[in-house]
Amino acid sequence: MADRKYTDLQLERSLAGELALDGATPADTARLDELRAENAAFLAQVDVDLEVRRIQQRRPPAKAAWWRWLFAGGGLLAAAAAIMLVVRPKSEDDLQIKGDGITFLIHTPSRTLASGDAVTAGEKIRFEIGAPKGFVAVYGVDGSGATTVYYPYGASAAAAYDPTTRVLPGAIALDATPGAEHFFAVYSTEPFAIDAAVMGGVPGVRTAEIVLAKK
Amino acid sequence: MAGEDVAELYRRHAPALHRRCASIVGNPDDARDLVQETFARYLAAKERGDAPFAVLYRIATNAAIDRLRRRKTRNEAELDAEAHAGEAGAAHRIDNAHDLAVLTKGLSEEELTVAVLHHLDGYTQDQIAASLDLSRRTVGKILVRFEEHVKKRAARNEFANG
Repeated sequence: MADRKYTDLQLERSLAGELALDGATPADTARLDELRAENAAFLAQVDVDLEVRRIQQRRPPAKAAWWRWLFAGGGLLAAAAAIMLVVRPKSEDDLQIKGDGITFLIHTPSRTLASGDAVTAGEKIRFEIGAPKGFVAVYGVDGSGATTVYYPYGASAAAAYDPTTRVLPGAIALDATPGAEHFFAVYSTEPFAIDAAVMGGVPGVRTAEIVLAKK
Repeated sequence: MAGEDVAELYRRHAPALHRRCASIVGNPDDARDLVQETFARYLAAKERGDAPFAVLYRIATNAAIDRLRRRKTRNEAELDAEAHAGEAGAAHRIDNAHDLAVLTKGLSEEELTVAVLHHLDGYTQDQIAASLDLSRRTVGKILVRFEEHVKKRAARNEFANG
């Protein structure tokens, strides 16, 4: 970088429209052109609309102010139920994904998985959900962007959920698609279409997510 | 923020964030996933300025380092990293992202970003200050704190090993 005035980071900020370059050297300009070409190549290989949908799905749900419970009809009972869900002690508590009032766990025969854990093709997993009586679905978005409904497998509508049976029936064997796979548990008190939930179009659903790295 | 605004934000910043994450985790698929995570965290934040690059960059760097921490088993990584840290001038010889992932545990987003730029990317303090709109003095203080953090971890390791 001997004949450079600006760092890569500054050039990137410039490309993002946040920094005006004053007196850039020829080496700066050449590097800027390289970065511009890399940016264009990256954007050419991604579906921006799809990425935005996934980003929106991954946003943590907004938390309601606690005092609203007190003024809602039956608020105290609802608050008590919510506290029961969150406080329930469990030795593997740090592995539970607490979504918006639901918990989500993924088990292999030998361990309980946390986000970031590595899994291999062929490994069998089962899902566990903690939620009030209602309707649930579990789907995954794999490294290629493909969405698969795992529970109820291949279905278009969520299945009825009974909180006395937290571990969902059936196991799935992971396929060989490498990369991060996002598993989403989706819950509602009312029946819902899974496709609509995937697109974020069902009001009132609660979602929890676990990301596994498939090798 | 509306979907079209998020799309514009993504087009403007995602390529640089992807480059940042890929340089740390070494895998373009993981980097793409980390870019999504970065935007999701940014959009969930209460305060977002008019110039989001520095904030997004800090979030992306932290997310990527955090992914490395999870990828390697903790004990193995700490033994590797603290063995390096126990040697003289350790902080200056950290050239491995995995080591850095362990050594930076507990640092703030800003501290971690500065440490990664200096020790992994080889930026000078002046370059970091200019790139992140920080004062040279602030960058210097952050790096001193980082070196103290590394020494403490090394000392703890020596104590634990008798």
